[in-house]
Amino acid sequence: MRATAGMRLVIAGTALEVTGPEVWLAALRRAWAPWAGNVGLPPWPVSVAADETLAEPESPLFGAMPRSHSGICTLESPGFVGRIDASAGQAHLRAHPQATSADVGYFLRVALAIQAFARDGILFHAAGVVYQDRGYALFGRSGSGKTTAARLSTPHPVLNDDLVLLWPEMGRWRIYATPFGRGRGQRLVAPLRGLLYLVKSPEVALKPLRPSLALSELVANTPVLSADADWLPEVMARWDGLMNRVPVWALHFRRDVNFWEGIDAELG
Amino acid sequence: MPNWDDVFSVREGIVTRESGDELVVVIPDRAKYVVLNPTGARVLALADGHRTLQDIAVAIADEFGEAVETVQPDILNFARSLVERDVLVPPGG
Repeated sequence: MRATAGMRLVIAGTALEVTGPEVWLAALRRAWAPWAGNVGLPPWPVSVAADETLAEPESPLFGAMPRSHSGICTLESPGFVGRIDASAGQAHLRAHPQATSADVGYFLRVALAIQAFARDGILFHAAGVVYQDRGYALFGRSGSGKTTAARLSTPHPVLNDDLVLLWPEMGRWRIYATPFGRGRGQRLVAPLRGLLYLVKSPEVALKPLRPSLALSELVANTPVLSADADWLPEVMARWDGLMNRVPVWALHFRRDVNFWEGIDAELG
Repeated sequence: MPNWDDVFSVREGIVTRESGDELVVVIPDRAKYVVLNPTGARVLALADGHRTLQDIAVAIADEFGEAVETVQPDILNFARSLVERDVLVPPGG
């Protein structure tokens, strides 16, 4: 536990420079190697420390609810004390030695979600698929079929089946792969062509989605930030702005059909 | 079940945003949302912690050109649904 190490997590304009026990960071460094590239904007330093004085973890950190106040997000549960300061641009996690790499990974994910938002992006609970060189974010309620839709999208590149980063560049939005879920690693970024709200249906169709419902579902699928009243007004405004540039559709699909041809016919 | 004499206000911490002619209401710590049509949004605005549901029914009937007895059942059902969803609470709740 004493050997300390470093690693870097870089996606679009986000960047975390992490230091902490090698026993926790080694696995993350390996798994997240494609996201250890060059830093554009200054990285946030993230320190991770083992603390034997904390209680033993009762459950993974994943179950802890992030709480924000005055720009500082805290993430606490037995065995963990995390603090992410968006205005100072830094984060710190103390964890009991029995914590795992997955716990540290979850903390980094929360920190990245906050940093991305502070830098005009959005971490989005959606599957990202690239079809004909354009990216689509497939989102929906729990069990709506994101993973299934990503699997059915073979052989098109899947950026990730659970979490993607939406990032504005030169007035256009792009969709980035993240290490937080399963991707095929074929591709890491694409221009964002559409947001597709998944609806299981006997037929395949692309239908308009009421703006209010679209906004609600987009907000509901914004991890970390949507649960906090401090962030929420800006989260809603951010999505409203994005919806003015990127179309949102309801994608009615069924498990055994290649729905991409239908999308192509509608969106061109 | 709410009564006509009950007074409600919007729960603290709730965030709203207009979208088209509808109102998106998000309850952050419950990870839930409600979408309200213009009438629902107006009822929510009238739930100010002072007006009773009867007052709100009278105001809605007046604003929308309906008889009070016509809107009363809808107001009561709507208030009940918002109470169940924790959007409306007694004053100070």
